[in-house]
Amino acid sequence: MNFDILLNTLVQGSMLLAQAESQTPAQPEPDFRGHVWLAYGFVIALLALFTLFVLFKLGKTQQRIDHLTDRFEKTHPSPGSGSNPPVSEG
Amino acid sequence: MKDAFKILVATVLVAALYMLPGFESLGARTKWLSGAGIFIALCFTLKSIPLGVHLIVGWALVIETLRQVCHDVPMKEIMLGESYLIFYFHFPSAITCLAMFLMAGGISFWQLKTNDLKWDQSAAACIELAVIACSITLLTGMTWAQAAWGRPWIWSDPRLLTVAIMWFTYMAYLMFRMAIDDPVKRARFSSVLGILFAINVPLVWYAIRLFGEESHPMELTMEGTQKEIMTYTRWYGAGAFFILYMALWRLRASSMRADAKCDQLEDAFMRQKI
Repeated sequence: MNFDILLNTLVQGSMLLAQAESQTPAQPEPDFRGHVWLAYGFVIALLALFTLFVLFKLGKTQQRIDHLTDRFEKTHPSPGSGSNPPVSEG
Repeated sequence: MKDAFKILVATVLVAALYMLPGFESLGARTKWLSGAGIFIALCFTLKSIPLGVHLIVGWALVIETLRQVCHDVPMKEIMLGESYLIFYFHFPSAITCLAMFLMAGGISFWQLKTNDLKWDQSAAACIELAVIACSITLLTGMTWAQAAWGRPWIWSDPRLLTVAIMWFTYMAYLMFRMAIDDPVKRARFSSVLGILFAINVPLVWYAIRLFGEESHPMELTMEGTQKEIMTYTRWYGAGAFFILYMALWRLRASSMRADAKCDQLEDAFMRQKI
């Protein structure tokens, strides 16, 4: 007799549990798309920044080259330039 | 004419590989050999293309990869869900960084053999770019790990660990370079380090086989046409990133060489004044 009561309680309990589980709202699937686009943005931005950095460095080097060329031309004037002393004829 | 011929040969090689019926079913050795052939052809061809064109093509290919990821590939993978999308930028960066570290090792060896400083600048530029690719690999990997495993890092994973060691060693290489002023001495020491550190690259590649199993996903669990699209986009991305990194390498190496020339000229002027 006691066993029947115990069995009934167990069955009812498990049914109640199953009902409660079915009523609980399903866990929303985590959204990782934000992470993905953030990672893509980071990669593209990093590579773009590196490209700009190297181009900027090249620009600076070009300025240095121009400056050095000016200095070289001042110290070593070419034969055709006006800064040369006139060559006397005869 | 010679350059045009090189470009033609490389294009035919790539096209032949893509059109080969049943390329996927070929043996691993054949795949490796054809991959190596294309790699060598690309290296010879890219040098013949004007730098500006090379840079624009590289960027265009990377943007096209992004377009394929947004429109063509499935948005979810069976096991990993949508976090797997990071893979399309993570994998190309990883492959590129390994290839460039190996290349830097080879160039460093050549520098030691020829004693020509231009190879030292090439190796340094190559390593700078590879460190950037390695940083991208680590950061995208950590973002992915956070999404897939719930934590950004697993210390027991041999591949993660070897990549981290590789990143630290090459950062040390770059700092070491900054610490030496004499270009000849710097070139010699950097070359030795470049060769020594390149030994770590095969270790990263074979980490799983050597040190046991890992948590790293090796294959995407999809079937049919979806898997084909995923595989295609994955290798397209790898090629696109590699071409862009090559262009950036050429740009950086030319900037370094120009800087070195300027330094030499300035030294010559100073000596003349004294």
